Amino acid sequence: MHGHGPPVSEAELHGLVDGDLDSGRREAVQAYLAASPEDAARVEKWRRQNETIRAAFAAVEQGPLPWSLPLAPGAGGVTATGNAGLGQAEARASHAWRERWFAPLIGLSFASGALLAVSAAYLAGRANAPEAGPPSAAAGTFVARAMSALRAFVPPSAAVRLSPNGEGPGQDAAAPILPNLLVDGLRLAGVRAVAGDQGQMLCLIYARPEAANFALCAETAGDAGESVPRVSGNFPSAAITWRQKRANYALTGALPESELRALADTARTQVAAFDGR
Amino acid sequence: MALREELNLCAPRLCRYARALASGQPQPSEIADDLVQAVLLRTWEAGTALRLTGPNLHLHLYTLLTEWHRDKLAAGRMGGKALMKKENFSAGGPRAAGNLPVPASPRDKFAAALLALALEEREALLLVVLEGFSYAQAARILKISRTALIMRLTSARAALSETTAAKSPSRLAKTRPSYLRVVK
Repeated sequence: MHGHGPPVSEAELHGLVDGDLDSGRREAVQAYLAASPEDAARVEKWRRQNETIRAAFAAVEQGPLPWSLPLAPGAGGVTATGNAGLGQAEARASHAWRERWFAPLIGLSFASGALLAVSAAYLAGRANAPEAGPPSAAAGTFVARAMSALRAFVPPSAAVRLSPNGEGPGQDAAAPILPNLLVDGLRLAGVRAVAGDQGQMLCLIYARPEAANFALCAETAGDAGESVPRVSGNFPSAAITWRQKRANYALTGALPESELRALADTARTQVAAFDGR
Repeated sequence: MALREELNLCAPRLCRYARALASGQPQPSEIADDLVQAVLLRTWEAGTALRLTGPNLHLHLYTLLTEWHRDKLAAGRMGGKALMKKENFSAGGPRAAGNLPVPASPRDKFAAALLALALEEREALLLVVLEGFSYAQAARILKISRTALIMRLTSARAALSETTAAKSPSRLAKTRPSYLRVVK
């Protein structure tokens, strides 16, 4: 391939299309293409391919992320149906979901760490059997057991103190972390251990004023991988499941979708921020 | 800029790359979104130790995602073929092009063409064209030389032209023209 100066290489033709060509060679390459219709057509085809690829995926960058991503819009905020060409409103919403995701990382106190430690210790001793995570075929069973935790639940008449002595195995990193949902109006009504096919699952039962209870359940997962939250069933009687830090989680109850997702976001944030010390 | 802000800025692009790589389509993909989540979480957790910012952070994220995608494919090959079939999660390649079902729409046709590329060709093409990395950056992400990257780009473009131009499955089976040219 000859043009002005050194010969034009195949790499330079690609560089011209991809914007990775020395500015000093641009003229030489363009002059070469002007004299070589066959290569010019080839380069033009590559340009069209580039445009097709970029256009096909443009919506992903410009649109909102699925709520289930860790940095993505969550419940009660931005939905996954926004439009491209975002204005200030969406920018504010985007900022809001980012703040919601990270703010707890700064302000988390784990005020009820005692309960977590006891729960973790309980599960550490019980749930050792390997098990597939919620996204697998076992998810249905896991969700069904999580939902069963709410059946005919009677809150204890008196508060039960679950404070550990600080020497228990609550620091075991392999034990599932049970987050404490400190949301206005919620009250931790009790903890229920639900027998499963493989080990025990522990469920925190939360009560809401003049509304049905909901449960946050966790069990040890055999798979170390993590998964995004997924909805099982139909609202208002649905469950959101996910795998995080070697544990399967399920949040279930008769809540509107937005509320259940917001709670799931809060739970995931707390689990992610938990350092166990 | 704080790490969290940088991760937030990278997330949509990373999601775009993951979906293109894993499913060839812009729609939400379980596997792709899981990969993105895992990469963001890992980087966030290790962020302080890594001390990565700016372009280095971007390169790290894409390197991690590309490697984990390959690992997932390898696990699929060894552990269960169901994973490979799920969501068109495909290593691609000329054989895949022949095995893919006849696309129903132009969008599906394009996705099929993208997935029909060999994995290393798809990675190179998407990093340069879709994500806008320079040849040097893309080569660094893929841990290959600049020359090897350009060869993959050449091969990918030739294959993509052939696949998208094909009107019948029989044309997919044709041998690709050589992308090597004699430079005088």
